[in-house]
Amino acid sequence: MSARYKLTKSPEGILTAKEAWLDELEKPEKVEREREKEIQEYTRRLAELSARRLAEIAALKAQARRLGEHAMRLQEAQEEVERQAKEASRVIEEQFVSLAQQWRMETGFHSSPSAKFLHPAYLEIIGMGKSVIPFLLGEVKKLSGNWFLALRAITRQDPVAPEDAESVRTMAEAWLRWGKNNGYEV
Amino acid sequence: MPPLLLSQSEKHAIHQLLERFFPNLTLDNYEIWSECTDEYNCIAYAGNMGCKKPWWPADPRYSARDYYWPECMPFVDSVENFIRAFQLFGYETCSGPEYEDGFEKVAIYEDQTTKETRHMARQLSNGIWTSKLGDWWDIQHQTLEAVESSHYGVVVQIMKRPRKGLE
Repeated sequence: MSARYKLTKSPEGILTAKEAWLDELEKPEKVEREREKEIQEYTRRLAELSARRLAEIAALKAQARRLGEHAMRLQEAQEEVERQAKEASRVIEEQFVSLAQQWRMETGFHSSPSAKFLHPAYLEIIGMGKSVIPFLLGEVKKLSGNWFLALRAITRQDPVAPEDAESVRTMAEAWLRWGKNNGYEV
Repeated sequence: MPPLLLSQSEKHAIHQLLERFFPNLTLDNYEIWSECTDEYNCIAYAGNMGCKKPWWPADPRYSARDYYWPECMPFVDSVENFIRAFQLFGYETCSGPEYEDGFEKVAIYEDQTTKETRHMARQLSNGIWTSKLGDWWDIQHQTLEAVESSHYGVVVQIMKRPRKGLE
């Protein structure tokens, strides 16, 4: 078997012949160096990546904390709005009950509509507007026809069809249907 | 139908309230016969033709169909208008409130200042009068004067018709 040679040329143009097996002797060291270099490079990139990921996680955590705080503030605001709405409804109900009681006491013995419905307390109830509709419908549910006029004045509607007008009961049913169709729970 | 069953304290409270508005009731042995309701009023109760809604010549611009009033009758509160409306139901004017066998009588009360009708009462077959006090209770009272007051005025007209079975 003839020896194999490897020719290399230096930058100055000097040609050198070297038996190939000598290269084989140098190769493991070179490979080792290259692998070590690769490992170092990989480790460096991994460290960079890890640092970037950690920074991203920290940013996400901060964002999540801010979102959590924001959500909590929104929930608190919503609870406050609900509390204020309940309070407003309670105040309106108290005001309605008080005015209705005054009106009943001062006009309850009258049959004349002008004596009943031109009373300041009744007019004040009309002046309370849409907020008082649930309480008016509550009275209608108890078969009181006294509140049809106030409901018509506030809603500017009259759901009582001519065929429903034969009794207070049928007129009340027409108003309660109107209430249900317009989102009022009575 | 018997009088409304009430405890002594309830009866006392209702009597106090009524006598505040109708002072003559203190002199009358009156009784309370129903719960409060605004499903009918004194005129529907006096008309005695089934009480499904109140009767009044209410201005249709405001009261729509909330009140019954005979068609073709004007929407005015005068006693004359009430007389004409009740004539449609078979009543005729008569002179006095004394009980007459076989007849049902009604009385019309007028506010003497405004000359507007304010109330009506009906005579029962035992001669006692019955009134629905607006949205409040039905009462039975011995005399027509019992509910005369600054609110109802005084009796200005009696009408009668042959008595039917319904009380």
